[in-house]
Amino acid sequence: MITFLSGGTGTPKLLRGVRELLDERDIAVIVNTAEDTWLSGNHLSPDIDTVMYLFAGILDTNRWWGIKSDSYITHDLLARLGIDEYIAVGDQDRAVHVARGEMLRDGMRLTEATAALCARLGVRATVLPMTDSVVTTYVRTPRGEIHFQEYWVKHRGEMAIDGVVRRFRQPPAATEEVIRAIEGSDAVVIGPSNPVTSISPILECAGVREALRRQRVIAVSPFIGDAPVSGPATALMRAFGREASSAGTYGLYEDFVDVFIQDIRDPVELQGALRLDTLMVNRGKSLDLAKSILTLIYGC
Amino acid sequence: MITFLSGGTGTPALIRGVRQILYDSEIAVVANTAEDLWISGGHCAPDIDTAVFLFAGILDTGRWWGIKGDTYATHNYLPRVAGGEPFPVGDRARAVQIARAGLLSRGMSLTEAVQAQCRSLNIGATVLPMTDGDAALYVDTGTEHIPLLEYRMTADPGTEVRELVGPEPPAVTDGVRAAIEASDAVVIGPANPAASILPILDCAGMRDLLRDAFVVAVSPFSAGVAPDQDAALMYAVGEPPTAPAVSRLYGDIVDVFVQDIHDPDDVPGSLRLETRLMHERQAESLAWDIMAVIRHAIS
Repeated sequence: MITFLSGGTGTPKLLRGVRELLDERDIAVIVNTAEDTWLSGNHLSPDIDTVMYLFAGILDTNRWWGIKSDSYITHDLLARLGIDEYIAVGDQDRAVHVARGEMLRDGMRLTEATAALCARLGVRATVLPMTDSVVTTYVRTPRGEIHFQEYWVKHRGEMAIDGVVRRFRQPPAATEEVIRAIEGSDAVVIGPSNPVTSISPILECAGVREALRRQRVIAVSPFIGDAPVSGPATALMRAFGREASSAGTYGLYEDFVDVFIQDIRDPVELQGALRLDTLMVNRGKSLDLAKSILTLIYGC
Repeated sequence: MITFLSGGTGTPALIRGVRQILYDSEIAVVANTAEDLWISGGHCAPDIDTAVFLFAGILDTGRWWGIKGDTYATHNYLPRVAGGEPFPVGDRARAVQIARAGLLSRGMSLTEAVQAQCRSLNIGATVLPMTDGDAALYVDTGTEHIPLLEYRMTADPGTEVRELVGPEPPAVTDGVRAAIEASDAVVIGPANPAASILPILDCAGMRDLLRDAFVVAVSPFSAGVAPDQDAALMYAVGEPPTAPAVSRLYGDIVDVFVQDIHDPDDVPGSLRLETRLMHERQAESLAWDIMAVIRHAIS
């Protein structure tokens, strides 16, 4: 089994290739939940949904979020009623939020709710929220702290930020399922997801770094030079007090990473890094990178 | 102004007729909230929504609930990922429920939330929940308590109704009080008394208000013929589904009791009118008759 640490973009593109090569039952994905929020009375978990929809074969792979050919009837009428859902929630997507909202209200853990949804959607891979407790990423702006999703989706990242903070009532701890998945794997792969908002929240869960230090870990940098392959990583890395580059990313992972992969085009020189084509612009490129990583792990 | 006490499907049908005679701004509707419930994170208030949708011109007048042309994408997808919902919620109706839930969670009263929604849908009439308190009724089937709305939407006709259970009746709102005091008359529409009208009359302060008003009540039943559910709900409050029973349940607050022209169960002193509302013309005709009675009484 291989365990992946994933956010909502980048790593899912790698998983698209991996799921063509492995039996899905041999894939576990530990997913960031620091962007989760209650929206319109129900529970939105953007990164879990992207990964779950990918394995269910219903992900809209043009946008890498939401369900393909979904409709937006409720969302559109809400706007006319003066309710601004800052994320376009599709009608089928909303059904998933409703189902999860009900399960959580009934006292289920997020891990159990995710497993139930995966079972119904025919997902055979193991999709694990990083934690069952609530932790949320906020960015600091001159106008105060705002939810990361609001910064990125509503304001499209076009806002000065000078800090990234995690808010929680109790410090988040990795679930038993997460630790077991890491320990029971042949290797752990950190995909090219945003190091600040997608991967660091997972690493900050109590128990994860320790488990990773005992495991073989391969990490893929999301940067080419100072530009991320996608998303708002540049401003976030700086606000996080890190250099926006593969070097800055490596700095976050160096205490546990065994193989660090950077793109062949990346001008930043990192001693010992493996150079591969990490720009997964299509299914073939995803497959190529997945093959290279599996070869690293299984050696053939 | 005329205030209607409304629930179910009969009163909205009558109000549709009244709209041919009065401006919307001269109509107030006090809606039953005994069927309200939270579903899928939204606030479902069927009798309020029926009134709101009617005045907004979007009511599905085939069923007398929901929005015409609504779709069911979320509702239909839910059984694929979880247990599903107990009754169909349209995608557009869901937006209204979610929006109201949002307003309530920001601390608005139900009255304020409904008012805000009426504004955003440009409604000229006044739609008022009977109370801002908890008035939810449950049907005791002998084995379980199910929400009244769920019973109405999903229970099979043979389901036993032992009694209707609910909290201590909450108080009418200031808005309801003001509407009734400002009205020339109050019309109790042809709705099931047990499920739709008694919950309104039972609100603390309501009967006193009505005693001081000119009240016209329309019986929903004629010749003891009623759908199984309506009959079962009436028996649950100890009465058969007949006009005399309706008259007994409403009691002394009613000034003019209207029963169907063909009804063999006579209520002494009642006004006999054609009360079947099969189509718009009949509703308009009944509305004209009721308005004439009111005009005569208050002039």
